[in-house]
Amino acid sequence: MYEEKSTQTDRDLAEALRRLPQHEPPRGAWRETRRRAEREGLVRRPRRRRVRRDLEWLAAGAVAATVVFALLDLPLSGTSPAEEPVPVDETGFAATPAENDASLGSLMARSRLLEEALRAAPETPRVMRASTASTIATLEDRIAMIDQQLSFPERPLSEAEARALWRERVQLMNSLVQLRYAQARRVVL
Amino acid sequence: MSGFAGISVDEAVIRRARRGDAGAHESLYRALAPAVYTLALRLVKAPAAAEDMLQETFIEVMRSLPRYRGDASLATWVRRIAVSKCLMHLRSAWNRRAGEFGDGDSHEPVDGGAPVADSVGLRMDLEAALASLPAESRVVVWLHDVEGYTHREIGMAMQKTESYSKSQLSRAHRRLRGLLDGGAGEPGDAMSRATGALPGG
Repeated sequence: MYEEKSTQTDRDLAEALRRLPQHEPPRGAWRETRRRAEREGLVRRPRRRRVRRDLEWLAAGAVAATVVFALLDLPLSGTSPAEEPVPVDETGFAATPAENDASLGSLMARSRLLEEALRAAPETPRVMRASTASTIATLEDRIAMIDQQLSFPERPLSEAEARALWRERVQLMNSLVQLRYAQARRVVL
Repeated sequence: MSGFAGISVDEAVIRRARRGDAGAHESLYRALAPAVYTLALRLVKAPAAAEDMLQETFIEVMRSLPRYRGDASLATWVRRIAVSKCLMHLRSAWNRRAGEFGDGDSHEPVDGGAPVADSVGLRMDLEAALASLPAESRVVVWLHDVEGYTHREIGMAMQKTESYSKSQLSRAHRRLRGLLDGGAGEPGDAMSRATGALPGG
């Protein structure tokens, strides 16, 4: 009799245990799991989504760059700097008529906009052609040299000298931005 | 009812997950995580440890899914992984040192648990009563009563004998009854509430 009662009670107990509520995992638990899985190479992002996101991002960057170029009235067409090294020589780049006439203030503003466009550009791919890498390095070296001259001149610069340096900086930055976007387009497409 | 019962996952999702598709793994997680987390919480008790078990389980699922042959349902397969992870955790050196697991009956009260309830001075609800059981009893009672494991399966999972599982279950039930009936009120009141007042009970 006791055994029967006990068994029935145990069945009731088991039934009550089965009815206990389910618990939801903490928020963020999946994110942590996925991060670890990615670190351990257990999952891959869906390629379609990755490419789509890259394209969306590139499109946004391209729009931003176009706006910058429109503001600057700089040429977007012509020989791709990625295909042909930018002709850098001792005298610097030939200035466009617009830049030749630009005031020091507007050149500085253009340079700032190009900096922003460069910051928004896709990251430099790990693998690139030697000629492209060399061109980028040359451009960046020249920009650094100009920044040095503008920031720490050996003697006070005349306005004409400062304008020439800022004009060259704008042109170098322009080439660099175009090169970076051309490169990203080739990686994605 | 076990949280794993009735979970079905689309074959196409499993195929994509086998190839390492993160989106498919997220779908598996969304379907199975509440059941895995609840199981882990019942077995290891501490929420932080249960969260660790949840992650360990799904990482193992990702590693082992290419070897999943489909003999059992995916939910059953995932549950097996989760149970194994929880038992490994409970068997870990830390838990053994803390006396939480693997030291047999040392925490079992002679008369089935009433002293614990008396010392707490409260009538415990079923969830709290379950959590108060020693780890081995908790594991046995949950795997048997909720997940539907046989004593043989429990014995194998815990690296013990079938009779060990039976005796643990018997003691766990006795202790639960003692905990639920302990404290103030007429004997059996809390037990009746725990087993009868639940939805559908």
